[in-house]
Amino acid sequence: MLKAENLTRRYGEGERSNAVINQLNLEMLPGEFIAVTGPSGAGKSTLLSLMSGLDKPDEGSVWFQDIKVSSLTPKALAKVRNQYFGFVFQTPHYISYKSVLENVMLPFQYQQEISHQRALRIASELLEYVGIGELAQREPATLSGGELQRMVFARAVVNQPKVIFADEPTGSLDADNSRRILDLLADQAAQGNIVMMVTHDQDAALKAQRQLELKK
Amino acid sequence: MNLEYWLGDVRDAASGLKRRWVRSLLSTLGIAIGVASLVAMLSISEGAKQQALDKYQNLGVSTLRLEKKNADQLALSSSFLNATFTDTELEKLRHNISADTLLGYFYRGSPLSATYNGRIHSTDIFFVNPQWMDLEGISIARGRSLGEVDLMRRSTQCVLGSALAKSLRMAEPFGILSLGQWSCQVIGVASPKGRLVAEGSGLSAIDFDNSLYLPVTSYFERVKDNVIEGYDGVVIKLPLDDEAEILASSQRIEQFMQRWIPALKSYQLVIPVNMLLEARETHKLFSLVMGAIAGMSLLVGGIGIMNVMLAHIAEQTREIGLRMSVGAEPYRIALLFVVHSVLLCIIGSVIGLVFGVIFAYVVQIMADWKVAFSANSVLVGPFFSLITGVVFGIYPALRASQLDPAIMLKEV
Repeated sequence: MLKAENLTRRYGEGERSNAVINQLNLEMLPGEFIAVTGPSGAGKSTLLSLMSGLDKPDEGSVWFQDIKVSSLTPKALAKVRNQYFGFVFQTPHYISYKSVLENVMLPFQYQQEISHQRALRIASELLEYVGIGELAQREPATLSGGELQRMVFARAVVNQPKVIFADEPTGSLDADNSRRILDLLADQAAQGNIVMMVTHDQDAALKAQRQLELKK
Repeated sequence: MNLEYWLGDVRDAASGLKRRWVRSLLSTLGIAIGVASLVAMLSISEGAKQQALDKYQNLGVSTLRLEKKNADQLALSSSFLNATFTDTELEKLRHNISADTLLGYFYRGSPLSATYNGRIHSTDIFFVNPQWMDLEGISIARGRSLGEVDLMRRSTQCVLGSALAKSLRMAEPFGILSLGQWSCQVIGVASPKGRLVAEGSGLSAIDFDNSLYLPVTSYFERVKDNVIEGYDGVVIKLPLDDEAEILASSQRIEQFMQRWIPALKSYQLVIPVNMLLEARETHKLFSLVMGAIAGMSLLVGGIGIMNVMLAHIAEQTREIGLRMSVGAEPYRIALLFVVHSVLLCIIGSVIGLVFGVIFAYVVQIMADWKVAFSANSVLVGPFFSLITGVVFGIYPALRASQLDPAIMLKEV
């Protein structure tokens, strides 16, 4: 379960401060696919950053299972992100000097338990699963936008996370590639994981079981 | 800890450098210059030290040498020409040193032409006591050395230096060597010994291999017509190994001679251990000054590395954010950039090491200075460069590890 309690995030100082997220309460259960919608500046990405521990709230707290994510030290947060969270961003971030396969394996670089051979096997299988297995040894810069986003999706789920945070995952994709990514996300929810997707695309939001609309 | 992923960090850091290789290479120049300076400086310094050590080893660290001043030195020191060091002074000295201290002494005759079987060779002549030959380490290759009996007999038996014997083709059975108005019976030929390196000590050089050795007692009869004259040189060998003990003992002997032997004014006393210690001090000071200059180069190089690291970090914010989002702990981000900085310093060290060695050899050839490479001279530079890499890499690395991933992932 992923939960937000009285979550508040302000930007600016003193009287000029502006609460982008104000006293928000939210609860997500395993297997749930939730879409966060709303106009630009409503705080969709801020909420996603707060829920994933990339950002800290000014008030309130975020819980994942019995872990108070909002109070963790940077070191403990890194561990939680590595073991339980996966990220898909609108801009497909990657490390340009690593191959597609190495980029997918990146989360394993920060794990101690898994062997290199097993990590290779899992990453290769995931690339096959998302349909770009033949591109494993290519440089990411040579991939199309849709292929890149599938690589990023593979990296997000390579650790078998419990929560997948997706920030505008279809924002820069054509209809066909958008559908593929949304299907992959829905598939994750079907496997019992929580999927939290920020989107301004109503069609994409319809793919989710629940919608949370933020207002300015 | 899975080593493969640690190596992954090293590989990633190396890949980062490779992508910006021109900038990386330029940023290592400061370190390379620093290391090159250190390597060259230490090699030159080591060479100078080796040279000084060789010189004093040759003179004998535990050997004190007393040598008659020449006319110029006497004029400078306003000493009395007639203050001589004879058997009387020698006896005084003998009573004030330990029984196991060896005393050697000699007269040095004017160079003569030695003739044997029609062959002529110019030679230096030394009238010596047998201990002097032992003290100078003159060993006998053929025949025998001078002995006490030869001294008592005032015999005109002589030992030839190796080069002199070779030049005159002196073979056994040895014959009689003609020395102008007189002659001597050859009894032995010395092994090759080389020269007494006396540069910087004020002593006269001795070419052992081109010299002829006779009993000290034959000097007055053969050369000076029984006119008593002071010895040209006295050698005192202390039975000690420890430098501090040698120094203390030397100083005691010097003080004794200054007080009780007026002839000392006409002589110069050379205490090699004193010169050795002075040379070491000079060497230490030289190393310190040169080390400080080279250290400054490394410091400047380190600042260059830090600047480049900060520039790398500014360009890699998205990569840092991505690594953090997939679970990189802050220390792993810091480590990545420290490794980055250390790699730059390793490259700089290798370049510096090569140029340092080349520079040292150039100095050796151009300035005719001896250079010597020791583990110290080759490893100190790279070692300090690595320290510089870590120290100057830490600030940018810590800065990178404390960046906000949410902000970094938004940057384009």
